[in-house]
Amino acid sequence: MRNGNWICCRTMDNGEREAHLAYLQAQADGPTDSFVLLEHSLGKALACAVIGLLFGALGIWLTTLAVRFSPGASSGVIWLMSGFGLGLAGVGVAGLACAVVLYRRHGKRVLSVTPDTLCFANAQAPTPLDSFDGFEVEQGYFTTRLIFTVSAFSHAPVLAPACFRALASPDAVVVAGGLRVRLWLCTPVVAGRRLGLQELVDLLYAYVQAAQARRTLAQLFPGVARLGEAAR
Amino acid sequence: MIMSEFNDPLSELSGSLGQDYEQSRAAQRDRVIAELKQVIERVPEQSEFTNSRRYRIWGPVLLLGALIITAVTFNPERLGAVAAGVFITLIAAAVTWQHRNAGTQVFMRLTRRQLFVDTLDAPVDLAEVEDVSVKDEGLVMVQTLEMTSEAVLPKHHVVKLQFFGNQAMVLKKPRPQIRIMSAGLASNGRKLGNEEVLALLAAYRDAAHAQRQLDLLQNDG
Repeated sequence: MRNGNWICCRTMDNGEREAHLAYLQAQADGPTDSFVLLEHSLGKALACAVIGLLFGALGIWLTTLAVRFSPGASSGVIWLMSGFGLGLAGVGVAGLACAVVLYRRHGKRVLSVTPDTLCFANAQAPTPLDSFDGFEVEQGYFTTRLIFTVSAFSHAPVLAPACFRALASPDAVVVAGGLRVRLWLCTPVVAGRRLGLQELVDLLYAYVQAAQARRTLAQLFPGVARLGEAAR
Repeated sequence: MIMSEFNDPLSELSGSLGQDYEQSRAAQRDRVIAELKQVIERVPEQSEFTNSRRYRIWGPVLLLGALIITAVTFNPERLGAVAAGVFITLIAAAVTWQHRNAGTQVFMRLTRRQLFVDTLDAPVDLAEVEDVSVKDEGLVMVQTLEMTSEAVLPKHHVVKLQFFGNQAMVLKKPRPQIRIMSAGLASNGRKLGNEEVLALLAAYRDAAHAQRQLDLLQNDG
């Protein structure tokens, strides 16, 4: 929408222009309430714990079996069994660690969105919504990824670095040299209700679209925008 | 005096119409300039890129694997197998050695107008880039810049005996094209994915096109 604006205004006649303006105004109204997007990862934490326990138990059982049979069986078989058992136990420990981390991640705030701003979990301050050009939602097997496109690198939010702790909290990272912000979550929850992919897209889209429309209107009528700021 | 008063309404009308036209033209021009500036300021003034550290990690792993294979299959009666093992080990050692400083040396630079690559003898004018594509299948990342047919192409020089090194290739046929090959791409120590590289290249290309239009506009008036 942004790039084509002046071109389409030039070729428009008055009627079209008015229709476009009415459309922009309708879009600019947008949603008025704020919401907080929370992470729901309890199910996945449980699944990880169960898998981890299962593998761990199997591994320990194999290892003890190897130790018990060690006088009788050949050394090759013992090595193989204990190696395999220890490997399984390692997988089990990793699964349990994942479960702990996901449990800590559960219920944390991913995004807080107001009609004008968007705040990431690890951001120092909310970012104005109109500094985002758009966003993408990617549904993976286990996670949902949210990628916001920033309209200019200088508008990218200042984020605390997310290292391994990013597993335990839904932190965002600035990628593509400051042109994008990326984060992932297990299941998005808003006001206690789980959201499907389409619902999440619709929800965020309404906010981003309204902010964009307001920015375009402000560019077309700077005076009115200043009045609006003063009234607020 | 009388004559001029008599003529006034018409000339005033045409004058004011002309003024209106000039004003709307000026306003439109300002808006276009603002739009162009927005596109230009989307990207930082300069971004520097190094290759990623994939072979700094995989080189030693490969070397260790090759050494183990050579040691396990070592048998003086089968010289062929030994030679093959030694050959693989040597290549793995060379990869490890060549990539010991991977991810620290800047070999590619993007500005709002030009692209600089170490192995190209002149900068590439980004405003002459039509299309960009990025491909990385795990070994080497290839960035392809499709140039306009009248673009002035630089010359590349080949770095010899480099395994997965940073290379650039200028092709005139079938279409003018510049290919930049490297072991992945990283900026500020962060590895970049295919889509991120594509987004960056496209954003810089757009900025260069906008810059060129802006220059034209400002030269006109």
